[in-house]
Amino acid sequence: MSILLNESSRVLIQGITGQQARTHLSYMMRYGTRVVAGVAPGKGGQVVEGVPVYDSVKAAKGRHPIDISVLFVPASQAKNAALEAIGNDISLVIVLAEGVPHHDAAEIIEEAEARGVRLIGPNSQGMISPGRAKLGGTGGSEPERIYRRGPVGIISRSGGMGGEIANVLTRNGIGQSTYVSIGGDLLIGTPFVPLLTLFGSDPETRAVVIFGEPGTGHEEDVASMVRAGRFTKPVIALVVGESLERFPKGMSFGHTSSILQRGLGSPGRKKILLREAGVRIAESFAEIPTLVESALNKGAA
Amino acid sequence: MARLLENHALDILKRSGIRVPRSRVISSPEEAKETAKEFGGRTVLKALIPAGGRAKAGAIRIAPTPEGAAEYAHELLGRIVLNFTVDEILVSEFVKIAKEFFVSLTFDSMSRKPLVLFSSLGGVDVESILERDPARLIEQPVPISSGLRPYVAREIAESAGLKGIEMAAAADALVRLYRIFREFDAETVEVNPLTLTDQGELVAPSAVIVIDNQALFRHPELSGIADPERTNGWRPLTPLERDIRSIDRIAADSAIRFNDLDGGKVAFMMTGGGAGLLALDCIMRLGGEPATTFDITPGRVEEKMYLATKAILSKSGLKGLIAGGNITNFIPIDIKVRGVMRALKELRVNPTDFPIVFRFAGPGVEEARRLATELPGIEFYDAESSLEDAVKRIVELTRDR
Repeated sequence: MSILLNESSRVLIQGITGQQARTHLSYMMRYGTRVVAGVAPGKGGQVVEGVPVYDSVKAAKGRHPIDISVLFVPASQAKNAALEAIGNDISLVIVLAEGVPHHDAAEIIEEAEARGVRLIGPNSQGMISPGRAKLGGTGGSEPERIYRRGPVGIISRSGGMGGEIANVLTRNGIGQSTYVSIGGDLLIGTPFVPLLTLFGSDPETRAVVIFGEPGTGHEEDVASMVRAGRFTKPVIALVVGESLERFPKGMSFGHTSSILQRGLGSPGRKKILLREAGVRIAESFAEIPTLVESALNKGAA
Repeated sequence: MARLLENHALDILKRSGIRVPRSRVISSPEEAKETAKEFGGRTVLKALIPAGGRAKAGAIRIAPTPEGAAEYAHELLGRIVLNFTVDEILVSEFVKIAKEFFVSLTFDSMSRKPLVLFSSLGGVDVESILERDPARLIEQPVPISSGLRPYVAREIAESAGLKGIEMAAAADALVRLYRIFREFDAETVEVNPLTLTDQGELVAPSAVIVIDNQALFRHPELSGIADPERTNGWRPLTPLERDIRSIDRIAADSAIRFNDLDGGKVAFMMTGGGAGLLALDCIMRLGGEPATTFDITPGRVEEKMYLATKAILSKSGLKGLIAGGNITNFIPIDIKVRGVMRALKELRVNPTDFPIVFRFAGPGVEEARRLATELPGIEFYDAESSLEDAVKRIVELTRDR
């Protein structure tokens, strides 16, 4: 099993005619992702990599059952494309664009909540259920070099670091059930907690690694969830950014969420709360495989 | 983040129907004196810099007379306050304050909605007061689809303990400020203090508006006003930061984020929002001294990498370079390495004197490794090793230099 995505998930690509979309479309299909249709307003009737293109999500949905839409749409257009997918009740919408204005992100997220649509991103790199299917950029052209099927779920605020974690696990002989890149923006549709709930009921997943960053209260929510016994599988967490606390306030780094706001978001505090709740904290990246291994062995015993 | 200077922020408030005191931007003591005469004698002088905390830094003064205004202007102009040189001062009419409130609009990463913060306490120390007494701060997330409805604004003011005309005036201001927040794609709109005069009028003598950089493309009306290059968040850009910003402008398909750190020994070019932070934590934990932070989003980046490497290596005191980042998915990394290598060769850097560590992994790694051999001595790490292994190595190599 896996969460959210498997080999039978039917996928729509919005913005399918763009260069990046075409490249990733071929990688996704080669890996086994079932892409059934694409949307590019004004380009309906074309065919890309054997995938029929429609002018609207509605038209695509009229011809194909669709479970997931992946948006290869630039940041300035992301709001409209996402609202179109949400408005057509696609149950899982993934926004890859980096740099979506905060006001647009807030509108998309609110609309998704109101319609019961699960939104991943903005600024997600996609997701992968190794050996089954992948969405977005995750894994690139040769996902099998980094990802292998197995018992560990990964949720990461950094797309790149999710890949690094999978890489080190795979090199240590530990496979992954699903990796979800949730996005490094200040406002994201799906943080850790709802995904942990899904991993909790996935029989294949036996432990979850989360990669946290400064800013927001998403890691703090994981701590409350674990503490309250609402997630009982082992969680291994790497929270980066403690060095930021030694630099002047106001300095900005890569991700827009990486700001410390009103008492929330200090990486040091996140680690304390997580540890107190029983989460295994990796003080460095190098500790991850050992912590995961011991968590899996304990679970088996 | 593009923080507007206060005069521009106050203009926006005024156009939105919020009362603001008369004010003028001046750059000489004489102008300060003339302005104070015109405003009726008593004035407030504020350093016009893009930074918070001016009152505590002594950069906000009340001048009782036009002569006093000239004197304060003389003292303030040319001074460095909160890292910024004071070239201009905002002189405003003095407002007699009966009550002070605090209003702030921002985004809440947890409700993922605009958040109204309101308190019947306001003024210089409001943040520390509210930390001690959080119950005095009203927090109200606002559904972005419906906006801040007038009745909700009244409920917020009421919860803060306001009554009657005061409540109605504060609620009216909240709705107008919320409209500004939405209309200008703001990250923050803050008025502290929002004041009630002894005449019972609500006046905003100060305002902070910060625009979301990522939305500037759709605000031509703010061009020249919202200037992301005015500050890097806490101080003016250094010359190196200015260089890197202009390098970034050669193409719009990728974006550089760069910090020129104070001092430092290692040119630190580890990219990736999360990977860069992991690497930064690691180098600091090991006692290394990064001189920069650097991130670049995907695109046709060879030229930017070339120019940025050249610019960064011009910083004095450097003893080594680490470049790279996390495993990439499809951006061929040899493009990045080609840019860096061009710079290194042009600058005739000798890696045996000036240690260089690369950690590049992803498509194009074989070509990247081959390129790196063109300068003997560069240590090359790929997906076989972690980011931390590479960081450890540059710390070792530069430790005693």
